[in-house]
Amino acid sequence: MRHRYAEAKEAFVDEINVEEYIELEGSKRAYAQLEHSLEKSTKMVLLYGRPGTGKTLLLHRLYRQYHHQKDLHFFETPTGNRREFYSRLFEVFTSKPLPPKTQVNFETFVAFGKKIKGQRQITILVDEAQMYPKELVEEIRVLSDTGSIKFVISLHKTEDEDLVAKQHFQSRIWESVELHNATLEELKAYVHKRLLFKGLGEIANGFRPRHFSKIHRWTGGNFRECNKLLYTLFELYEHYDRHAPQKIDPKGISTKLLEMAAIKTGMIHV
Amino acid sequence: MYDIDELERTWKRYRMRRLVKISAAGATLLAVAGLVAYLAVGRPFAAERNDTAAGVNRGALNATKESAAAAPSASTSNASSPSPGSEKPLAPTVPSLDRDREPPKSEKPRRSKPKISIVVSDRNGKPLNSAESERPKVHLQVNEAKNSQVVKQIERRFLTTRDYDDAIYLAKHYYRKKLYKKAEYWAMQANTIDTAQEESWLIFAKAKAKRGRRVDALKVLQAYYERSGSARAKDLIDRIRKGKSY
Repeated sequence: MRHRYAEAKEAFVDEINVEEYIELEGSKRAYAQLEHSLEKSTKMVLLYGRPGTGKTLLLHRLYRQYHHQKDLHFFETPTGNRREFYSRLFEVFTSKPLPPKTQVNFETFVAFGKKIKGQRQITILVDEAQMYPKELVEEIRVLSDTGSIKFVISLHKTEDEDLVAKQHFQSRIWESVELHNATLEELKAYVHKRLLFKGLGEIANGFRPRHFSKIHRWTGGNFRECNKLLYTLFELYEHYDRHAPQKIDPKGISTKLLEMAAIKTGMIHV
Repeated sequence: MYDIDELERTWKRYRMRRLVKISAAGATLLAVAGLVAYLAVGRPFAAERNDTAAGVNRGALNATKESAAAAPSASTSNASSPSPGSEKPLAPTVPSLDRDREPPKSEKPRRSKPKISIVVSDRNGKPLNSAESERPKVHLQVNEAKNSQVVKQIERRFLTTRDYDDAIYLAKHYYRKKLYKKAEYWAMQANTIDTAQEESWLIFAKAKAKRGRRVDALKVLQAYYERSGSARAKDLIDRIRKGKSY
C-alpha cells in the first residue's frame, strides 16, 4: 500500500500536467483573454509574468483545447539558431519536415505568408521568447506583419528584464496579458485542489490559515516555489511517519515541519 | 534522504532566534505603549494638578484680597482711634492672615511624594530637557529603525501590494545608494505598474546610463520623450548626450 504522505508529495511534483490544471481567478482571467485574442485579428499577443506564474501551463492548455479546431502550433522549447526555427516554421506551413540538406530563406516565408493571406490563419504559440535572439524576434515581427500568421509570445519577467526589450515587444504588440503571482486566497485554493485531486482531503484540511500565510510569505505566491516547499514538507512527513511516527500529529500540519521544509529549501535563512 | 538531526538542530536555532526577536519586539512595544500612556494620561494629570494648585493660589489670593480689604478698615479704625495708648483692639484679623499663609492641607502629601520624570535623551545620552535634572531619571532612548530593515520590509510588502509608491521609493533609494542595477530593477517594477509616471522612466534611464549603457538609456528616454513631450526627459537626454552630470 502506498503511503499517504508519499501521495501528498506526488501532488506537488513540479511538472506540466494539463489534466490536473487548477483554475484560479488570475489564470482564469488570463486564459479568457488569450482565448479572446485568438479570435481577434491581432498579429502578436504577449503573455508575460514572473517565472512560476503558470505561463507555460496556460499555453499548453490553450494548445490542447484548440489545436484540433484551429491552425494552432506550439513552439515549446526555444531555439537559439535560426535554421532550427525555420525548419519548424517550414513544418507548420507545409505539414512536412524540411528535407535534409535544404535551406529556406526568410524572404520565402514572408512571400508564403502574403500568399496565404485570407485563406489560412496560422497561430503559433512561442514559449520562453526571451531566449530567442533579437534578430529572430525581429523576423517573427515581420512574419506577423504579413497578416496570416499570429504569434502568441510568452515572456519571462526576470530581475534582469530590460525595459528596452519590453519596449521592443510592446511597440509591436497589439495585446498583452500579464500573469501575476498568486494571492493568498489563490494559493490556498491551489494547495487544497492539488491535494483533493489525489483524494487527500484530510491532509488538505490539516492546513491552518497561519500555515498559508507563511507559505505565501516565503514563496511570494510563486507556484513553482510552493510546489518545492510542499514537496519537501511531505517528504519530511513521510520520513517521520516511517521512522518516528510519535513525533507527528496526523490530524494537522505541523508548523515545525513546515518551517523545517522552508529551511531545507532555502526559503528561511538561519 | 535528508540529515534530519541536523535539520532539527537548524530549526531549533531558527526558533530560538525568532523567540529572541519576538521578545525584543514585545519589549519595544511595551516601552512605546508606556510612553504613549504617559503622554496620553500623564499630561492631562499634570495639567489638572496645575489647575488644582492654581485654584489653591487663587483661594489664597482671594483670601489675601479679603484680608487686604479688611485691613484698611482696621487701620481706619486705628486711625480714627483718638488715643494711641488706648487698649489694643481685639480684632481677630492677624491670626486669620497667618492661617492664610499656611499651605493648604491638601498640598502637603503631594509635596512629600517623590517626583519621577521621564527624560528623553538624544543619541549621545545627553538629556534634551535638563531643567529637572535633580529628579530621578528614566532614560528612554528612541533610535531610528535601520534604513536597510525598512527597505527590506518594503521589498517584502511589495510582493503582495504591488504598489507604485513602494517601487519608486525603492528605485530612488537604491539610486541614491549608487546601487544602479537594483535602482533599474525597481524603476522597471514601478514602470510596469504605471507607465504614465515620469519618475520611473527617468530613474530607469539614469541608472542605466550610470551603468555605462548610455545608448540604451537614450533609447528609453527618446521613446518616452516622443510619447510625452516631457521637458525633464529632454533635459536628461541632452545631459546624457553631452556627458553632463544628472
